[in-house]
Amino acid sequence: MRMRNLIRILAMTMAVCLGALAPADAQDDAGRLHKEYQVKAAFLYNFVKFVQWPGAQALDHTHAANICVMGTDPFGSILDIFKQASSSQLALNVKRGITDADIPTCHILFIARSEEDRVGQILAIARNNPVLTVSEMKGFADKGGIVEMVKTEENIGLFSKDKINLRINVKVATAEGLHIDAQLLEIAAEVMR
Amino acid sequence: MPGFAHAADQPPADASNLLNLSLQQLSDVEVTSVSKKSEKASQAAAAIYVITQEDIRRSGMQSVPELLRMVPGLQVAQSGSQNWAITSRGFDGQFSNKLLVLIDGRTVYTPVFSGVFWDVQNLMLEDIERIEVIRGPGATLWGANAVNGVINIITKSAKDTQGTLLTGSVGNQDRVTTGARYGGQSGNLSYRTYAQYFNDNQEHTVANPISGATQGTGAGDQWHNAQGGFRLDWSQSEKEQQTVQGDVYTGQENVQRYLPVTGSVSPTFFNVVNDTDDVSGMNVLGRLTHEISPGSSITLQSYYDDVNREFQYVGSSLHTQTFDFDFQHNLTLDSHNDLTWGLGYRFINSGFGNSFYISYAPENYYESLYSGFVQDKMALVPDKVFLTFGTKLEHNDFSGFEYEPSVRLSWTPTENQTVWGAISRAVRAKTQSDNNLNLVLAAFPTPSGSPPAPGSTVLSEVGSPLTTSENVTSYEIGYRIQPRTDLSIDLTGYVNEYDHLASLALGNPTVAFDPAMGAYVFEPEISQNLNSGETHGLEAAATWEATKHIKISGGYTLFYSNFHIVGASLVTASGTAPKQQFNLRSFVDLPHNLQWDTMFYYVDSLPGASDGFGDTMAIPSYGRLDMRLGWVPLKGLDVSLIGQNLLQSQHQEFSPFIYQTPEEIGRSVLAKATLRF
Repeated sequence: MRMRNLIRILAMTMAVCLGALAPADAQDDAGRLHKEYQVKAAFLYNFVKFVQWPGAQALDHTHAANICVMGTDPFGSILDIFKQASSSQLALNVKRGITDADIPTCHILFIARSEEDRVGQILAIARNNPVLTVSEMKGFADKGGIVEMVKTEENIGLFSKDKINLRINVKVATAEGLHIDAQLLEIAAEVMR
Repeated sequence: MPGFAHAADQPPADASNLLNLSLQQLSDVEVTSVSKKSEKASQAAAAIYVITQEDIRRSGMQSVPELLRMVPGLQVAQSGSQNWAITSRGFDGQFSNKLLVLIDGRTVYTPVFSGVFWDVQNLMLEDIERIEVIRGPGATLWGANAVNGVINIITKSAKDTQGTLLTGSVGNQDRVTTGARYGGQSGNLSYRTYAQYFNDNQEHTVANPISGATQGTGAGDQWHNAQGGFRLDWSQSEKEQQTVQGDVYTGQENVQRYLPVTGSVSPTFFNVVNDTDDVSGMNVLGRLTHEISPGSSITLQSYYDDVNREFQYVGSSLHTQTFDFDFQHNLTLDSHNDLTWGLGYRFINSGFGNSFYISYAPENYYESLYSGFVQDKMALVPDKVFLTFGTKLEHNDFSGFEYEPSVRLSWTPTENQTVWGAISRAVRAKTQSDNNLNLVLAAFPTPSGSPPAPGSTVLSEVGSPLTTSENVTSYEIGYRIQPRTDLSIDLTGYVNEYDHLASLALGNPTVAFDPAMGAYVFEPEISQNLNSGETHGLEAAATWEATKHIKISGGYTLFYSNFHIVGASLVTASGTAPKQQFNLRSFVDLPHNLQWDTMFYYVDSLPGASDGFGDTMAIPSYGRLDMRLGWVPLKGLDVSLIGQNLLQSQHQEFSPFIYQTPEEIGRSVLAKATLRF
């Protein structure tokens, strides 16, 4: 009896009481909209730190890292933050509108979804050079790409969050002469050897 | 010339902060889109539970009714080999009419029989995306008969079921199932087609010696069923999606029946017969979603559903054809208002083959159901406080106009917790059964007295045009929290006040005649709606990801009822609800691709269940332990060993369905293999 009335009172109170509610925090809508690509860009930046390129491609204060984007660029100006992030120890260059001929000059090659139809061709060229190939295409790692960035929904109960997970194909990386740090492999959702 | 798919004028300030995060922190950053965030299930002002594909795969359950056991607030009882009594928040029984069940938007609740024929809902479990269970009145959106809940079974889109899948299982007591599915793609079009077959020779032991059958003998309920279907999805542009899907099935079920007969036919006043039910059906559904402009989209859906059932010995048959048309428009009015409105029309053509036991007058009839609804979701405080209010208005040929309004409020003070409350009204609209059904319940010797009368009396439940719809006013409150990233807790409390609940009243006996039964006294129990009452309860669900390899889930249900019974009814039986239920499930990933899953369910006793012969009996509480050992020896091959009901060799879960023998559910073990390539 008591429990029943209590629930009834609480339900009615909820339906009526609108006044004493906390104001919303300021929303950064534009920021949220691009959060997915900000995180993917931050991962590209981190790959420079956690991957070693062999021989002539090795990075140090005299050799800038070339981050290339092939196809329709989904990042927009987000990648410009890399110029700000460049330090005296390591310079970062962002190159857009890459053609097949430019591939050997890239340390990291981000292949956009627009190139899905010819991804096999691109990867064949990349394979002959120490290029870290990255993409958001579904099944990229299975096709021979090195890092696949997957937007995954993590659920617990009704709470769900989309996060960026990595699938890393170490077999292809090693074949190209690249060394991927254990720290990076540890956080990958899937490592293919 | 490179284009920019997403152009920001300036990179947002917090983008550079991300560069300072560690790799682990980066993997944890939430990237949910704004539109998806505004529809977050965790902020919903309703008692929702979602059965995921992982729950389906690892629970070891082999059918949809069995999967529903894990949901707090639902009561699932297997009454016999082919029979399940499933309900939400009380009123469980063969004729569970306060729960709406949909498969991809098509209702599988059969109004003429006031329930769901669970034995013919044989989807391929591997192709189910998720099952959403909403307890409480879902009437505003879903309509009449969603009085205590809505179950929405959603299958995967065709593009998520590509390639070939073969599955098979073998269980003790000769249960065999096989299934195959193939999915392909051609440009923008994805498709799949499937077929499955099962044969169950398991004889569930008869529980009750009252009927004369000895305990331990087979219940004669072997059955087999074949089902196949297809699904096509295509979208020419991002703004439009189309789906066409369909299924067809046929099956045969052996059922041992206790049929009431007059003394002239048998001195015991019942016959035990081995009956055979033939079931068949098909359905086709089409749906189109089109975005008119950002913030405005429409959905058009239409389906045809054909259900056939023949009860050979009983002598009755049922053929229902349903045509349904639905239109829905979602419109973002302004930054604070999300409006949804819709119109629906359903035409049901029912043909019934009458027999001494079950008859409708008229045998063939059709009815039209018109419905419309409107709902507004208002952001009182953006992203934090939402007020949703709306109503459904329906008209059916039997009950006239019914309105079902609802008000819901949700408050999300911090992103990881939501408080919500709701007040709703819902209706279980009266249908043909309430008006015109004649159902024989029992036969017994006529009590001696004057004037002299035929020696047998047959008691029947009869419909009446004076029946009305049942209704409920529901007050609900809930709280949901994710206190740590690995833990989620969901609580719901409710009080339901019912009025015009179905009741029966003894009418005046008359003398009747039947060619097979001879002359007999016909004693009617007339359908009315004089009962009322209230129920209240609590439902809790929690999930804990203890480690990356161990996940533990639990659920708890508490239920109280107080009914004011003027005349008992097959449907309002208050003694069929357990006071408490709970379940605890653990999914453990072991090395070498092994999985070890343990599931425990507890159901309290049912104090006032019917024994099938007019008396009440208490069904004792039971604990059920299931275990599954899974192994992936090669990529694409899943093998599992599943044990169910391991604690007891057999136990009874519910009263027998009408004309059926009380049955016990036994221990079972099965081995299953699934191959994907």
